[in-house]
Amino acid sequence: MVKVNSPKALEEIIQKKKKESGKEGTYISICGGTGCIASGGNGVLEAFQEVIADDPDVKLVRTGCHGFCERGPLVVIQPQGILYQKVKPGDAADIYEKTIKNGEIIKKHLYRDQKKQAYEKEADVPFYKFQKRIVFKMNGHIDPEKIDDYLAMDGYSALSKVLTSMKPDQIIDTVIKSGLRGRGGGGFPAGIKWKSTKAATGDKKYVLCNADEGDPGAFMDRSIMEGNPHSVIEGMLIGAYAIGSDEGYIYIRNEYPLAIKRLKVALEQAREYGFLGKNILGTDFSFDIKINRGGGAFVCGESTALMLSIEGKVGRPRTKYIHTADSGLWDKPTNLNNVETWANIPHIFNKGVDWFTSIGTGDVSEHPWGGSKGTKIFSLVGKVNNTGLVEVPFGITLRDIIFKIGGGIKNSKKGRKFKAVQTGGPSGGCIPEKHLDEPVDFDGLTKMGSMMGSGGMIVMDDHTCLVEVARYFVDFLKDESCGKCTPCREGLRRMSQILNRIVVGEGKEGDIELLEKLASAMEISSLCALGQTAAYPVLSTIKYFREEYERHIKDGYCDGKQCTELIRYNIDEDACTGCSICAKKCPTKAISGELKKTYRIDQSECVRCGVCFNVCNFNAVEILSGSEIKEKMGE
Amino acid sequence: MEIKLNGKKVKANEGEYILDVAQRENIYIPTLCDHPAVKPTGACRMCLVEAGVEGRKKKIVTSCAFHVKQGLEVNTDTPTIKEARKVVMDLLLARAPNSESLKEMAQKLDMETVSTFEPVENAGDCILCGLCTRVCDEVVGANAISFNSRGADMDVGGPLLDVPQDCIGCGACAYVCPTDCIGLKDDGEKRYLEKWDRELPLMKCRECGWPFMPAFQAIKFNESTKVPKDFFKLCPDCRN
Ligand SMILES: Cc1cc2nc3c(=O)[nH]c(=O)nc-3n(C[C@H](O)[C@H](O)[C@H](O)COP(=O)(O)O)c2cc1C
Ligand code: SF4
Ligand code: SF4
Ligand code: FES
Repeated sequence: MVKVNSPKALEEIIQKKKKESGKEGTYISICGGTGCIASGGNGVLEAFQEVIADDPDVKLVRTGCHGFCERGPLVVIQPQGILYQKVKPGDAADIYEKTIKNGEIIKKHLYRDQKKQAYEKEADVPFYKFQKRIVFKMNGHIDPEKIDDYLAMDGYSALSKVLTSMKPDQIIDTVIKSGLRGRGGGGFPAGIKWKSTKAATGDKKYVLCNADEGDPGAFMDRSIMEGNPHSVIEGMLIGAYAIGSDEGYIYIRNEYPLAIKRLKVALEQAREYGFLGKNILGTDFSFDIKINRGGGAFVCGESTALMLSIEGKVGRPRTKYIHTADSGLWDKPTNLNNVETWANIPHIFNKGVDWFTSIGTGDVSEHPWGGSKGTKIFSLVGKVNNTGLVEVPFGITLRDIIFKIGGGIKNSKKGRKFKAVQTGGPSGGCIPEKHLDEPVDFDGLTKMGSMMGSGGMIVMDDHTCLVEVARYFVDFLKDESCGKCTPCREGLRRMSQILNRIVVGEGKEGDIELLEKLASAMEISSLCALGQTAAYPVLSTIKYFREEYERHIKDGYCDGKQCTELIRYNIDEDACTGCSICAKKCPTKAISGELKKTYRIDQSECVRCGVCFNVCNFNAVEILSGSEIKEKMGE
Repeated sequence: MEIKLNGKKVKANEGEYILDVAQRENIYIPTLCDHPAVKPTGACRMCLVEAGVEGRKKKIVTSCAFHVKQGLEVNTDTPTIKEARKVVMDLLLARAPNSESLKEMAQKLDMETVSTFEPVENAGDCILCGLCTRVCDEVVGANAISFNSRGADMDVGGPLLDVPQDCIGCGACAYVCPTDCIGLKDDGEKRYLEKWDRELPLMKCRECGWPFMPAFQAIKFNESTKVPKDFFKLCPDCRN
C-alpha cells in the first residue's frame, strides 16, 4: 500500500476509492454486528456471496451493527434502502432473483409494526425514522475491516483539514464551541478537558479512549468500534494533534473480541496508509495507538482506575485532587474520552460547529455547559416492542423514544402499561410517567433525578417492582465497588441488606429513612463517582415511588407483583374456562383440575414463576399480594 | 502562604496537606488511614472537611490528601461534615466492635461507641484502611500483603489470602494498624502474626542470646540498608 503523505494525496485517494467502491450501483448491506452474527448473519453473508458470485454489477458489504439487532439478521438493499429482517441463508437466492433483478418487494421479509403495517424502506421504519444517525450513519454502509470503504466516504478528511488549516488552539476552541460533552457518563465538555491537557506542563502526553463499557445492557461503544473503528481513530488523531500527544491507548473490555479484532485491523490499515505513525500526511505530527485489554471490573471504567489498570496495577480509583490532565497515565498529562465522544469529532470538523450546535438543546455560545449538543446513542431495552441501539438528537422527549421509536409497551393488549424508565446505567435513576414529555439531555435527566450515564435506557411496565429494581442495582454495585473507601463499600453492604429484607417482606419501620441517610453520606463522602452515585437508584425510586416502599414494609404488598415472597398466583374460578393450558405449562405441576371445569394452584408446589399468568388467554390467573391474599384465599 | 482554617488565618507551606496544617494548629480531625510514613490514600473518609478557594463554592474533600493552596478556606466541623463522619464511623464500628481506639474516636465524635448495624461477619476488627499493606510496600519494601477481591467482599492478607510467603515478620503492619487487629506474638523462639497466619523463627543475639529479630527481616534489611554484614547479628542493646 502506498503511504498517503500529503493532504493532496489523501484527496486523490478519496476520489479514487469513491469510484472503486461501486456504491453508485446496487449493493447489498448485510449486518455483521455481534447481534446479527449471533442470529445467523455469517450464514446469510455466505449465501449471498454464492448467489451473486457471477454478477459483477452487484456488490456485497458486510457492515457493522445497524442497531435493530432484535430483528436480525438484517439485510438492506441499496441504493433503494429496502430493509429485510430475520433473513435466513435460504432466502438469498429468492431475494436476488426477485428484488435485485426484478425490483419486486418480498412482503414476508418486511418489518411489520404492532398494527401489522409493513414497511419497505429502512428509513420509513419507525425505529429508524425518528432517529438522527450521525455517529452511526456509516454503520450500514461500510465494511469496518476495509479502510477503503471509510475513505470512500471522505474518511480522514477531517484530519487532513485540521492538520493543514488549523492551529491546535483553534481546534480546541472549535470543540469547546461545538458544546460536545463527554458521552461516557460525566458529560464534561470535551474541549475544556483538551484545553487543560494541552496547557499541562510536560513533553509527554497521552490520549486515551475509554472502551470499557461496563454498564449492563449497554453496547453502543461496541457497535461503534465494530461498525466504524476509523471514526474513533480519526477522532483520537485530531485530539492528539490538538493536545500535543504522540501516544494513545484504547482501553477495551476483554469481552469484546470482535471489536478488538476490527480495531486491530483498522489500526494496521491506518498505519499502512500512514495515518498513524511518523509524519502523518507529511507533517511533523506523529501519533500511534495501542490497544489495552480491560481488567474485567466495572470500576476499571473510572478514569483513574483505568489509568492504573493500563499501568498494570490493580484498578482502584484514586483521589483526583490532582487532575489526570496534569498527572494521569504514568504521572503524565493525560486526556481520556469515551468511544462515542471520539467518534463525534470528525463530524464536527467535517460539517462545522454551526451544524453541530443546530442539533440539541440549550445555548452553548457562552459556555459548553449551556446545553447538550449533537446526538446520543441509547441502548433501548426492557418492556418495549422495538429494542436496540437508537441514536437521537438531544431534546427528544422520553415519550418519543419509547413510544415512537420503541413502538410502545410490550403486551399492551394484555393490559401492560408504562411505569418507569431507568436511564444512566446501574447508578442511574427511575423516571416516572409524569416526566415523559420532558426533553432528554444531560441536565434534564439530572433534574429528573436520574442521569445520562453512558446511555442505558430500560423501560419498565406496571408489572415491575421498583424496590426490586433498586435492590438489583445496589447488589450489582455492592459487588463491583472496588472496596477501597468506607462509605461505598460498607454503605452498599447495608443498603443491600435493607433492600433485601424489604423485598421479602421483612422491612422495618425506619428503613426508608435509614436508606436516605446512608445515601446522602455516600454521595458526599465517597472517593469516586461509583460510590457518589451508587445511591441514585434508591433515591430516585424513593422519590417517585415512596408509597411502594411503605406498602412493602407495612402491608407486605408488592405493587409490581414481582417480589415472589409477597405474592400468590391464584386462578379466578369464574373466569377460568378449564382449558388446562396453565396446568400443562406449569414447570412444577402445581396446577390441577378438570378439563372444561376449573383449575387450582397448589400453593405449596408453586414456585411463582408466572408462567400460568402469561399463558392464560382468559385473564383468569390473578396475582395477589398483601391483604388480597387473605381476602381471596383465606390464607 | 496563608490559608483560612475555621475562619482563622494560618500559615501553610507549599506541598503540605490540609491535615498537616490542622494538626500543627491543634485542630482535631479524625483520621484512620493516614500515617506520616506513607503516602495518603483517602480510603477511610474520616478526615472529610469542606474546602475551597475564597469566593468559590466549597467542596467536600479528604484533608489527608488535599494539598493547600493560596487563598484556600477550610471548615473542619460543619454540620454536614459531622453527620457524614458519624455515618462513616457507625459503619466502621460494625467491622471493629472490639477496637478501643475506634470507640475513643466515636466518643470524640459525640456518638455511641456501639454500631447501630449488626457486626460484619468475619471482619475480625479490620477496617480495611490499608495502612498495613502500604507500610509493607512503601516502607518495608516486602510487598507481602495486599487487598483481595473487591466490593463488600474485600479483605486484606497474603496473595489469595494464603500465608504471605514474602512476609519477613518485621511487624510494621501490626505497629501501624489503627485497630490493633493483626496480633503479633513473640514467644521466645518464634514470632507469629495471627492475621496473616505467618510464623517465623526468631534470630538470637550472638552476644546475649535474646531472640530479637526474625531472620528474614535481617536479610531483607541487610539488603536494603547497606549496614555492615554483621550488623544484625547483635541485638540493639549489645550493638551499643
Ligand atoms: C464506576 C465508573 C465506571 C465508568 N465506566 C465507564 C465506561 O465503561 N466507559 C466510559 O466511557 N466511561 C466510564 N466512566 C466515566 C469515566 O470515568 C470518564 O468520565 C469518561 O471515560 C470520560 O470520557 P468522556 O468525557 O468522553 O465521557 C465510568 C465512571 C465510573 C465512576
Ligand atoms: S467510591 Fe467505591 S469504587 Fe470508588 S473508590 Fe470508593 S469504594 Fe472504590
Ligand atoms: S489489618 Fe489493620 S492496618 Fe491492615 S487494613 Fe485492617 S485495620 Fe488497616
Ligand atoms: S485519613 Fe483521610 S481518608 Fe482516611
